[in-house]
Amino acid sequence: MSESPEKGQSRPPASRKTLRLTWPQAVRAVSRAFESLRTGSREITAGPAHVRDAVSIRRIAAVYLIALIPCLLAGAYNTGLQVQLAASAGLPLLDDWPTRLMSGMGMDPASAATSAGAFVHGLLYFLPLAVGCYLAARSVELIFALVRREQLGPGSWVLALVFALILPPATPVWQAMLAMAFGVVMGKEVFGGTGRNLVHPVLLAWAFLFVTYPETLSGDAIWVPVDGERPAWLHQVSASGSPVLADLDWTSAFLGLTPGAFGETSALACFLGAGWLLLARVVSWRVVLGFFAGSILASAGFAAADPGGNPLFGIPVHWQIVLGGWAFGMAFLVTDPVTGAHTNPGRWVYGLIAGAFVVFVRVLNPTQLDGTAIALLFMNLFAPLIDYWFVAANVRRRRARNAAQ
Amino acid sequence: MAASSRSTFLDPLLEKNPVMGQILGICPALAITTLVENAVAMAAATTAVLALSNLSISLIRKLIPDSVRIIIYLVIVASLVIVADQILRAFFPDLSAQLSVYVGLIITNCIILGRAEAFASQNGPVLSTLDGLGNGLGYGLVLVVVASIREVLGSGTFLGHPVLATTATDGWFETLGLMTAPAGAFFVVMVLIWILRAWKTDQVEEG
Repeated sequence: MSESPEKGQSRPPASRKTLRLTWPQAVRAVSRAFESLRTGSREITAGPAHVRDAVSIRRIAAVYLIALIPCLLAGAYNTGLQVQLAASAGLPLLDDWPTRLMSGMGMDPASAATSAGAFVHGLLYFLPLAVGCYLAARSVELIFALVRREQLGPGSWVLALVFALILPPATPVWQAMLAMAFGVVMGKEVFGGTGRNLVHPVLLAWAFLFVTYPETLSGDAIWVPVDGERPAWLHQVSASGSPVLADLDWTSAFLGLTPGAFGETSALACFLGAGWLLLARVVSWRVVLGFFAGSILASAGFAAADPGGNPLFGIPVHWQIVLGGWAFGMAFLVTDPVTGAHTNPGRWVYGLIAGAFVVFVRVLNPTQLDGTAIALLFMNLFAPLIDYWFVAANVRRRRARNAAQ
Repeated sequence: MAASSRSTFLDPLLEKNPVMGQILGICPALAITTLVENAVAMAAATTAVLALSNLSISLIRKLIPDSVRIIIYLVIVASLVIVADQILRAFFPDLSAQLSVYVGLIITNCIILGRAEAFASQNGPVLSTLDGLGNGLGYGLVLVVVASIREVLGSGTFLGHPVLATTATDGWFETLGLMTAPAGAFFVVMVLIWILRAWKTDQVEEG
């Protein structure tokens, strides 16, 4: 810091230390933060230069919440359904509290007769995760808002729901909360808060969970909360590849009647959510189309260049998009307006590389059978670089044009 | 530049910490900080080498030709590192085996060459030794703090003694795998730098 007396006298530097809060003010800030959840902000920007627009972070969050509804409903139903199917195949139920609570409410978690029962059972697994993640994310945001004396922003529910939807049903709630808190601190607050983040907090939280508690996110046993040895049909498509695909039904994989994480199983629900987001113009159709194109090209390329020996090479793209987290990633993660590319041609390139990269990870990395989360986290880091190229190219083009005149 | 001996010694601890302020010597700070024991040994070895190399370079600073000074620094540092490595091997063979190549790599620690070039080549032997000790201790402080966090959270132990009952021993604490991974060290160092700069705002670079 250079000391220049003239400058210091004409305008004292804005320092955070001038804003000391007393304890009653701090308490009021907390209560106002929660009040703003219910009533919206009463603060209005005082300065002359700001954009008048109907879209705010709060509205974008609301659009996202609506888009997540199909995934939530399909995921809750499917989770209970998978337990019923596993029970009818003779697997013993877990003695965890959702199952006990189901029996306590007079519903048989094992009986395949009630679809409402399946829905309630799945919801009992999902809600603690979602609420726990919300509390973790909100607490972190509250602490940072207090320390930085900023207004508490909306949006934690979107983060919490998106994260809970990519978790397996049997994830311990405290692990999910720890990962969510880590994701919000390291993925969002460290960069200065909502809208300034480099990586998606949810993807970072997922990576934290994967590295810290790998047993929560890997193996075949995590997708359906039952006990005992899994029969073959319960396995995700594993290293044995396409022979297992023959046991699966594409339609049920598309509708989301296969084992998997809550929100990821139903490609249909994810497509509905993506359609709503596109309709509301919250996300860019260029990224979505690029993502499709990238996956199509990569799958075709792998099928053409199949050296034999790895059956994952031959999985066609219509299977790729219904398996694992592809559809969910397409709808809610790769399209994230903050962490993706911001220039229009950059969005095409970003989507294209992301789509191809997901397939690359799936086919080539035996430890990441569903490469969506890790590939998209990696792509987040490239988005600024892609933007840089296109902005620099535009500058060059305009400079050449002006020189020619 | 006549600096007081007090600030020469104390500044590198927090005000001008070589790891947290200047982001030097990150490689060993990441590699060997999974256990506090290793970090203490590494800190001691580096501090000794740094103080002695600063002292020797300061003593002959007026004899060193400018054009070959880096090579001469390296010869001095390399000799000291070999001595430190041999002492560790002779008296602490287990520790030496765990630190393996990183003791030899002290020579490439940019803090040592940096202090030789920036301080010892321009100051007297007493101040230079103090500067070497201060920087070594500042570096060791970060190493030990990072290692304490990583060992407690990653293995549930401190200096090898169990402090948190891990699930492996029927306890409640599930060790954080991230903390034993090298990436965990990045996060710990990053958070420490974040806290330090939030506390001492004059260390924040102007962006």
